[in-house]
Amino acid sequence: MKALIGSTRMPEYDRECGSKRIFDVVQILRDAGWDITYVARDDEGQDRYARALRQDGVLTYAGFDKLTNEFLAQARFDIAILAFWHIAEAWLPRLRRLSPATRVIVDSIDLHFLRSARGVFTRPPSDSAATALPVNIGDEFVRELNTYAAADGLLAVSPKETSLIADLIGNPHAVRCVPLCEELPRSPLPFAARRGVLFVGNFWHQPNVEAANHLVSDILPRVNPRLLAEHPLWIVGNASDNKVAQLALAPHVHVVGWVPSVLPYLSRARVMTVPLRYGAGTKGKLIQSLAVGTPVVSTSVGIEGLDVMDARDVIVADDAAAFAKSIETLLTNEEVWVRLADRGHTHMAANHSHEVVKERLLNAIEHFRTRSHTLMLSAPPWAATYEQVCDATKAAIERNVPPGAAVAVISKGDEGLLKLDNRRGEHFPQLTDGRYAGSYPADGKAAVESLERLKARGVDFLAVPRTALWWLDYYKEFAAYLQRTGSPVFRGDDCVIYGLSAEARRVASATTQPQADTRRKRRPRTVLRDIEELRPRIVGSSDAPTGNRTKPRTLVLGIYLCGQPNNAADEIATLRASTRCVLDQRWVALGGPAPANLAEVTVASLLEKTPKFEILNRLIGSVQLADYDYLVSIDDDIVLPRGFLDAFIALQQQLGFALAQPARTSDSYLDHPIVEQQRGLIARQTRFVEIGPVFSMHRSIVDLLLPFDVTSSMGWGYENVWSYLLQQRGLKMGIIDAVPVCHGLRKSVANYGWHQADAERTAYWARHPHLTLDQCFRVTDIVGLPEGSHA
Amino acid sequence: MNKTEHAEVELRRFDRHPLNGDAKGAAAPTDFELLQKQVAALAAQVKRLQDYVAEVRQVRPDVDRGLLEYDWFVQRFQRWLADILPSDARVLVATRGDHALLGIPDRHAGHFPQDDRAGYSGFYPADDTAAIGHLEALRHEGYDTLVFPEPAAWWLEHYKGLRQHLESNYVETACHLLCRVFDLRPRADRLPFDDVRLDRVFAQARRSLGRDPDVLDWATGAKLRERFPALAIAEFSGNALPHIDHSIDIVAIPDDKPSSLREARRVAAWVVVVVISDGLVVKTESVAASRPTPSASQITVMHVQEPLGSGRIVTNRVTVDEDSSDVLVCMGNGVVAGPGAMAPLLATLQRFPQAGVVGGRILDFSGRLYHAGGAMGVDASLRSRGEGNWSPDDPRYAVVQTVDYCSSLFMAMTRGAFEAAGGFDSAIPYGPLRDADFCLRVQDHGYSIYYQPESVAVCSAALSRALRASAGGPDLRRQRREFAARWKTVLQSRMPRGDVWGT
Repeated sequence: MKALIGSTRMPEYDRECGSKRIFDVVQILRDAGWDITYVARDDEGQDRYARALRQDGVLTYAGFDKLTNEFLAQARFDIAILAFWHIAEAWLPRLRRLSPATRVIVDSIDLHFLRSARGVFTRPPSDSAATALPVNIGDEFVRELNTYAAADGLLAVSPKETSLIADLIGNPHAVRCVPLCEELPRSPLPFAARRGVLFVGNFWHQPNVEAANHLVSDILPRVNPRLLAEHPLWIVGNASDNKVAQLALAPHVHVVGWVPSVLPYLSRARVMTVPLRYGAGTKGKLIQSLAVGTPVVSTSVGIEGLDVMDARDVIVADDAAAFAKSIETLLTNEEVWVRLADRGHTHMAANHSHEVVKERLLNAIEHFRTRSHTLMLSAPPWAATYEQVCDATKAAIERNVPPGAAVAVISKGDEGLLKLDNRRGEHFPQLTDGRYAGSYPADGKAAVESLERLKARGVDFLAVPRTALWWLDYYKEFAAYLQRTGSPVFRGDDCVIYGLSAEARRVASATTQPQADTRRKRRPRTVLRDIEELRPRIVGSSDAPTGNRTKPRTLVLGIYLCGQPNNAADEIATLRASTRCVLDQRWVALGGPAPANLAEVTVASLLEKTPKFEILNRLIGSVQLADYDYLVSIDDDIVLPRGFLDAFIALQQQLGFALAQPARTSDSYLDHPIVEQQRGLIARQTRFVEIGPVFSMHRSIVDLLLPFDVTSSMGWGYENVWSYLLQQRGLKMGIIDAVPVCHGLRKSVANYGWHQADAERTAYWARHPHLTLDQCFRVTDIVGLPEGSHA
Repeated sequence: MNKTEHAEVELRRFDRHPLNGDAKGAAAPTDFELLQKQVAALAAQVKRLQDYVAEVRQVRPDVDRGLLEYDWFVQRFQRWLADILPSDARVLVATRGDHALLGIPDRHAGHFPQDDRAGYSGFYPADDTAAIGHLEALRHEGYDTLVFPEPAAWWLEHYKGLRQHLESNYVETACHLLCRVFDLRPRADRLPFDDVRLDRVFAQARRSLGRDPDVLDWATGAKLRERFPALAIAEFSGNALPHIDHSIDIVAIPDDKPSSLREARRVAAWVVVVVISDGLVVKTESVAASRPTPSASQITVMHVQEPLGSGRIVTNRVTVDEDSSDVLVCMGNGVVAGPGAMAPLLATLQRFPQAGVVGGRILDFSGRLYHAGGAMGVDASLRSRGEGNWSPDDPRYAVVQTVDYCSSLFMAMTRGAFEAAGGFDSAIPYGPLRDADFCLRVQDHGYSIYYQPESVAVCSAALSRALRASAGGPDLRRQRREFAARWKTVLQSRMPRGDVWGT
């Protein structure tokens, strides 16, 4: 099996804890037999660490661009573990596009939004810096969470952060806790042989710098000088610059800097200190120290995420005086020292040993590999690159603005945005000579004045790329002006174009080209978008009511068993979240009255046992099928992925399947192997679509297949007849792999007799021409990514 | 930097160089004198150029000025090199195919890079390893001087690894406005006290430990971390070593602090005393440490006659039986091991106890990859991974891994593996088949075959030609049949022909 591991840099495992975490993940997977490819975003000065990986059999690439699209598409990684959200944010769209079967797992290491927020709020009041969150933290917070939600799985280092992420993204199954790994030998040195107080930290990391300062400036002066003379402070860690080195000017403080291994220091120190005032994740230094058997004095932040208790495993002190007192206690009280050393070592061995972490990591990966894909076939809008936004903006201008017109673009100076075919692009705002102004307008009024000057020079349109949409929020007066004097001639995900005069809007609407024609010229950006763009292309749908301007109308017919465990409520909620279909759900409660939460969509309750297809016939008889584009039958014992209906119907439309079903996930009950999800495929055109748990008919075949012949009341044998009928008419049918459903709640044939169903099938087949099962189990075409998406 | 400033810097370097007699024995010039001298030198050069241009213009008024300048440059270049190079020098010139640059009076000069018939190769090396490999192969052919004319000075910027290789292993004997000259004779022969000595200590430690040593630079001022970026080197400037033992293999100390020696000897297996003068390491000295030094392997090098077909494979068991080496190294005749190539091979044997054989990365004469471990197909087909790849630094071939077999052109093996397998089978004269057969027998005894990319060797021109021409001889079909029959069971688990990974 193959894994891609990506991070900002090669793992500097002997310099900082985050890197060591990544290095441990590499080692564990490699030892478990995985082929590992490691990609670092930055490629400078990393030779030693890249070499270490290569000597361990890990293929390394420095710089993501070197990992070409072709390689990424061919390598077929089973999983990709991306360390830190910002790496995942940058790489996820490309991975999704080029290697859709790869499960993408984000290792948060520590929650950046949490650390950033705490960094601001925990500053001492005397600090002149602001103590309120800056706006950009909000932006990063949104991006970080969006990235977590878009991944197939998340790794967090502590139960607390696991729970926090799960709460925020609303999906506890997507997060697993894999703690930091530290397996250091316990120091053989007893209390009497230990000397010194220790601080360990990587000083690239600002919380460590502040902690070291706090220790030397606020805490050490409160420690008994005589004790300190006997037990000086050793500051050990990477990147100790002049500022850190100056701490050595204080009495009894030694700054050592980076060392290949901190083990000798941990083994010989009497006390380890973790005076962090903010941060996130768990602290490797604390785990290391306890594992070695060196007691720790820490702040509450320092022990966060670790299942350790004050006075049982460590001593926790949050103010300088208490911290100093605790250091003195551990320096002098052998009984306390021995107790904490024993407890700490035992605790860490039980929770952070290599074996424990290995088991958790491999279990988590197995969990993420087998659970169904997060339904993100494409890059979400927030993940679009700037280049894509520019391309889309220019395409929208060329589609919606008549040739020869002048368009002002909020360009932030990007000349590329002004290169338009047969249209004159102008920077907005701009100087009198047309160059980019170089700064934003001071306020809304200035923005309006600037736009009016452009209008006076013949500019009739204003394009606002998505990257500049904040203008409309920030410059209220400007937004009101646009509202008052202009109106959008185009509004899309990537830009908004305003016509600045009535004449401009009239000309624009007269000259706007049909979207489908021009969009086809663009490189397809996402699967879903293509599907939308190509709508409709269903076989025999010339008279279909579905058009470019309307959403497909979908009738969902379902039956749920009252008094038995079922997922109907979840299914109904998932379906109801559809935004791209006009949905009509009609459910029947079988075996009892409808529960209150399902009453709204339940059209009938049947107390007596009734075969499924008889019920469906009754439901069909009660509606005007001609009003719907799609008819979807759904059982109550499945789990639907988020956004199921939109994606499923869109794919069915785009692929032209008159009859379709979603694939079943590998962990489903499977009656026919052909319906199992084939990872890496969008769909397969087949001669087989199963009667359940979900199938969908386009309106073009409704008259052909309905009503159901209840000779086979449970539907056995329908597939063979459907296949025959569609084949005779040259219609397409298939299984959509990109939106699999999990059919794991009940086994098939759980509520009726096998022999009776089999006999009914035989009788049914006798009445209808049909294909044999062998003839049905054929895949006649496979559908991968859209053409051009590999480019 | 403008041209005048550049000239000033270059002249300063030139004048400081030991080969430029002006600097020898004279009192250090003041800055003003130096500047005067540089201006005068520049003015003289400009005057000569103007005279030359004027002279040629009289005869050929249509000639392009740029050509004239280049022509003038070539003449100066030839004359200047003739002045400074020994009469028996064999010179490589980075020419981009211009034969005029080879016209150094009374010296044998060749293109760099060149093909195996000494013509200009027509292309630049793809990466550092290709450039270094090609250079080493040319050294093996007898070239002892490398010259980068001014128009080719970009080489040393672009091929940073080549520059590092030249600076670490050879001496830059002249740095002039016209060109830069490197003496390719082994540097240690003439300058024993420098980085090479340090490098040897590190290599010895690596061989013994099976990994890179951890080093402490204890206030030497030599900036070892910058000089050896591939090593984990801690720096410490305090007076007493804190808690450093168990984690440090080598301690480097300055010679002016003899009090450090005892402490350094206590904590490390190796101690290096570094003598610094004007920021340069002028001397290094290894001192025995009190902590026992892990013993290094004894090595025997066996030479392999290639291309095979004559049956003269090294089953010279007599040699092997007679000595007590615990590691045997196979080197093909005409194979040149790059500097530092041996240590990684031996370190791999040390690091992986199950390793029986370790093969290196082998380049052909032009710097292309020839062998990066081998893979076998189910039909007994053999394939050298990466063969013909112009970029030997391709990450796919930079990874230590187990392989099906490796080439006896450059491989190391433990005596135990060699003896367990019973040596090479002289009944299979075709090299790759014989190597594969040997490696399969080694694996039969529970050993693994490893590929170590850091051990780079390069084939000479003659060997490269022979390997290209070698088709295995008329007997190859029989050999392959016998090989397939012998290893039928093993081969069944291999991949189909043509579907071998990683190539």
